[in-house]
Amino acid sequence: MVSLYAMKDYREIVHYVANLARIELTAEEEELFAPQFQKIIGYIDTLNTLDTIDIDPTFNIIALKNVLREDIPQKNEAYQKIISNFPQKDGNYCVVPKVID
Amino acid sequence: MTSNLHTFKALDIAEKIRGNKLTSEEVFSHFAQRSRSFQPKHNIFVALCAQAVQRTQSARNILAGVPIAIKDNICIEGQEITCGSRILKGYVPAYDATVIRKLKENGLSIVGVTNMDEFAFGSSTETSCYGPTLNPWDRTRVPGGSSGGSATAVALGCAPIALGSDTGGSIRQPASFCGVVGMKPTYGRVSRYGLVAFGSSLDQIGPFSRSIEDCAALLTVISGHDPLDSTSALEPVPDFSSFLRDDIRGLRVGLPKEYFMAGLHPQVLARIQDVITFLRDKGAIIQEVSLPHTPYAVAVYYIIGTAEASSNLARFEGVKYGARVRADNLIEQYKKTRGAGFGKEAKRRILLGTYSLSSGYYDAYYMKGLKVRTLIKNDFDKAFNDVDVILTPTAPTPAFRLKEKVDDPLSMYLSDIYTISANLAGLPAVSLPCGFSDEQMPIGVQFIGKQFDEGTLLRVGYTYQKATDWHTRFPAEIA
Repeated sequence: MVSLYAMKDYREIVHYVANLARIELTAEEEELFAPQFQKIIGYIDTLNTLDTIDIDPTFNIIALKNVLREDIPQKNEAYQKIISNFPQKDGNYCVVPKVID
Repeated sequence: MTSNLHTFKALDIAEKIRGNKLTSEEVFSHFAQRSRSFQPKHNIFVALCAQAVQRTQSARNILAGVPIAIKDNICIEGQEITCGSRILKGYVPAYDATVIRKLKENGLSIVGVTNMDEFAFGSSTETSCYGPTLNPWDRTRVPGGSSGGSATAVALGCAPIALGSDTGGSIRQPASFCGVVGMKPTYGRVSRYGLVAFGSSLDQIGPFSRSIEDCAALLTVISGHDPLDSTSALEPVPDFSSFLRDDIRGLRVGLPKEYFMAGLHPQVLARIQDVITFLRDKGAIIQEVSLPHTPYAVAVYYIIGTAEASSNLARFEGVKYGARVRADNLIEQYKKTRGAGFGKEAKRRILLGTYSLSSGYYDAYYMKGLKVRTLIKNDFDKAFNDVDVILTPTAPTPAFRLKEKVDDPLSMYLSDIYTISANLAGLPAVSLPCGFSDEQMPIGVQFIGKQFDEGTLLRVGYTYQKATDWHTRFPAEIA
């Protein structure tokens, strides 16, 4: 597997990342995105001028931790409505193509 | 009698209904009719709703009978919701978002579902799969985004109030561009259950209105801890209307010097300076503060926001809901469904997020972003030792023209420069209409408050609106 580090060409990077994100891009889209990506990443790289060695990351602005609830089973009245959204179904099952082997 | 109902506050409409001067059906019909009439010229709505049967009204129903417009990313049971995207076509939520449940319990009815940038990715409502909404004051311009439909609905009197969502400015900036009030509550103040997630540590649902009184009333209805949202705060909800006092004597107002640099439109600066003069005349103490990490905020947002978005949008793959492009195997189905279903901006953001989270880049980008976020939050904490509220322009310019920024994503991102930091720091912020440009386009002033201090923002807004009438104006086509 090729590492992102090895890629120099932004078109290659866009293609590789699109595969990770499971999005099929057209050739035109890759052509369009590559320079935009480069410009945006270049802008974001300005963060490297900041020294953050001793700074803690902020994951959660509200500082809640381990919000738990009691494990009390409840009836789900909505399951038929959920099933009705399946693009392809067989009874109560959602139908999908086989996973790649 | 009802022909100018849209000039009334939502609270006054509700009072007339309680006093039997109007029925809720008459009220709904008036706003539904206005919505239908403005829809062709402004493309405000994705769907218009029939009036729902009202549930039993609770004791605190100061907004009962009032119609409200809802952004297309808030789940309403039985109503198709698409987040402005082809990939969710046909999706009908099986449940109400908590805010929707609260609106229904308080007797409000939904007049329609409003247009938005696809998955809230945008500052102009141009990335919607339904095409852009057109600015209520000038149809050659954008209404702002991503809650452009909701802002326009309130500006044109299609609904007296609306809900939007704000991740980097998506309530405040369109409020500014459309000349209405828009507030982003403190992170955790309003439940996100039923809001289709973009940036889970940044998103908040918030109110649009014309008056600060309506903003306070609606905020009270939708706020509160929710066991269904593990990021919702345990902070008790006051009656926000109790903060509405015409008194800001001694209020310490901070002007962050980094927000008043080159690039600020001259008339935006002029209107903001008028606001500063007003506050000073009313006894507020104005002082300069510094938020030194401001120049990094947009970069931090486009790391954290896109990273969270790439994770949140992984669920749209054609399996359980929405559009599906069939293929022979599951991975191909994901790729084709997402390739066909997402628009360009959605793809760009997912790609950026995936890149910054990928192996080898996680520390350099995502972790770095989170650390600079801490620095930005620390800037605000330090400033709030000296001031009670921070004043800034909401946007660097009035509404720009359609298509002006669509081909330059970075330029579009930079238009969020004044709103983004409040999301990163989790602070409440409100945009109030404060005048017009020489081209008669609305301009907004933003106030940012301390965590959970929406009350002070409401007090400032009330004091300001008692002495001004920008918020009562309608575009010429309505007058």
